[in-house]
Amino acid sequence: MKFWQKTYLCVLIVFLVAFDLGAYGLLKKSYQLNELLDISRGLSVYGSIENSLSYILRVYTERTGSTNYETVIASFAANYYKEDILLEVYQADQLIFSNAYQFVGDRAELDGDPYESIYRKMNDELWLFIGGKMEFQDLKLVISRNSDYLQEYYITLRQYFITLSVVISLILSAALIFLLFQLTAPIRRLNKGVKAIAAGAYGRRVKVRGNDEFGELAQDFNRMADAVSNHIETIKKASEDKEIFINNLTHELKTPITAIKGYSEFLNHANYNEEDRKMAVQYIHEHIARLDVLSGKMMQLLYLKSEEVDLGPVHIENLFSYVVNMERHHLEAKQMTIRMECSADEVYGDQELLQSLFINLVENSIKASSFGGEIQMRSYHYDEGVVLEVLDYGRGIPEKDIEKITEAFYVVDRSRSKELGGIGLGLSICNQIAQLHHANIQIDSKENEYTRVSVYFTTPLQLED
Amino acid sequence: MAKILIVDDEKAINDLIAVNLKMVGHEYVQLYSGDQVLKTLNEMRIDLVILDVMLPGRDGFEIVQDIVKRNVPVIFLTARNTVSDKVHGLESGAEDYIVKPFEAVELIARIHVILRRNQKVANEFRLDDTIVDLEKHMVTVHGQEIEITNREFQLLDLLVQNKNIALSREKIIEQTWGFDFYGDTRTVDVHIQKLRKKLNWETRIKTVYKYGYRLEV
Repeated sequence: MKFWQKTYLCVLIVFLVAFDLGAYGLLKKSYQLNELLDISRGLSVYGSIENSLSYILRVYTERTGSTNYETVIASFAANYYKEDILLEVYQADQLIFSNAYQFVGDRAELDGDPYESIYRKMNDELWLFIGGKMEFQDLKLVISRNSDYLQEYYITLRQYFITLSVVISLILSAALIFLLFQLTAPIRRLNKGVKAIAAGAYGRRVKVRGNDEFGELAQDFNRMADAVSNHIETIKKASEDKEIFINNLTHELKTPITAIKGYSEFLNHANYNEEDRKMAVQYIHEHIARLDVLSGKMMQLLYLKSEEVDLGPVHIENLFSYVVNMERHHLEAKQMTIRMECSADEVYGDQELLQSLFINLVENSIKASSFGGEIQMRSYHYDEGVVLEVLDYGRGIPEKDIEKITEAFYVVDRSRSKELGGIGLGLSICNQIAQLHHANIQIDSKENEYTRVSVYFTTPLQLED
Repeated sequence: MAKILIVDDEKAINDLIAVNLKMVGHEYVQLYSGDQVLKTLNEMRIDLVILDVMLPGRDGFEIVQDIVKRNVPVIFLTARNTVSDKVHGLESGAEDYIVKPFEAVELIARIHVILRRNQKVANEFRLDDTIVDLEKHMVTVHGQEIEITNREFQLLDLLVQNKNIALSREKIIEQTWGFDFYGDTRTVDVHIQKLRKKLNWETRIKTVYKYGYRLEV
């Protein structure tokens, strides 16, 4: 059962019980009051009848000395009969006159002293009996009067209350249904939204306004949905990245494997000449070397992913000199020079990781540069930290590739990059190292003009410096 | 034999395909990017294109339809091994889709099937005094037609297709008898002996020690 239906039924039942109990009480009280009124009226009539009859009988007895009261009582009773008041007169428990219906059973009113009133139901009509001892001798008088109007009044009133309760219930029902429907509308909207989100529409949000509990719930729910969808996005992104990484890795592995397998098979089975044999062996060597480089870089990348670094002060000029020294063979081969400019002295980081980072960057620059080119390595203070930069005037990076260049296995020009021995993991490693230092790598380049890779060190430690 | 265009940006793989084609006697042209393919097709008669998918310039999926339009059959040879890539490759009009790393024998067999389907392969193979008519299943030695069983001819066809490349006994069984053959690999030796004798190829069909046989041309 829906909430609004439950509420509706509960309210209706409570109302009906309360209303009917009230009505019943009211009815009872009203009936009682009417009864009292009726009795008091009856009593006053009884009193006057008793007085008059006693008086008449006394006078009659005094005048005639007769004890035959019947005729006197009969004529007297006739007057009252017109007023629908019926009389019974008893003498020593002996009925001596009656124009009333004779009721058989216990006549409690006869013992009334001075009088007693009682209601009796006869032939479905209500009668009031009042009886008691008369002043005159030992006579007893009982008057009875039809009080059925009391019952009619009761029934009418009850009917009225029933009708009223039905009418009010109907009105109340309509009002309740309308109100409850209005009040529970936010729940239904909330429900709809929640269902949509549960079905996978993670971008959907619940539209419930207002400051009541539903509004609050909706806001909290939206906040929860935000958090959940953010997490889902993150997980999705992570798994997509992983998939791309694995696809690329598979591809990177497949080429050398295909070459090694193919050429070894060729050497094994084919009817080759010396020239072919040399070529095959050469390719096998080359691709084993490539697998070696790949596995080394992969290990480095995996190692970096799991590592936490201890940051310490690193002297920048020493760092740059080390890198230049390491790369001197490559530089000499292309007759290139490196110019250093250090306006910042120290940076906080891990010495070996930073060496690896800048060796990678300088190697990239050497590969990109043409014969006899120049590379600049600079360090300077930036408003919030230290920047280390490597700048070359080589091939540059096409604008569309800059964003993707730090992705694993991404190389701008596959065929040329392969000639230069690149596998597309260098910048990925650099990025990883930068992240361990809470540093940012920014690449700024113009095709065929220059490439500037800036590493922004902005950890709190750099600030303290 | 046929002239085959090899398009692969990996020089090593490109040369590997080339050297295998050279062994079985095909001519070949090597390209390292997708950009030159149509130009080359315009300049010379090409019987078949072996195409990589991931290429600098226009990639394989982009070029394939232009090649197919010129009625030149295409075989994709790529590291991409997902089903959707395969379906995409074959739907775009390629005749076959081979995943790296590949086996030379397999590549050559598939090339042969496609060339034969497209009737771009010679029907005749001559070596010494022996002429093999691949269409009529007829073999003549010194102008004399010799009797040859169906199985022997299949074996001969396989050797001719893969001339200069050693075939393992298992490979020969797989290609000639089918996978459901439960006999001894010695059966191969018996058939090879018969072929050598019938065709006068005692020195041409070489035994490769502990491996199989090779038809040397």
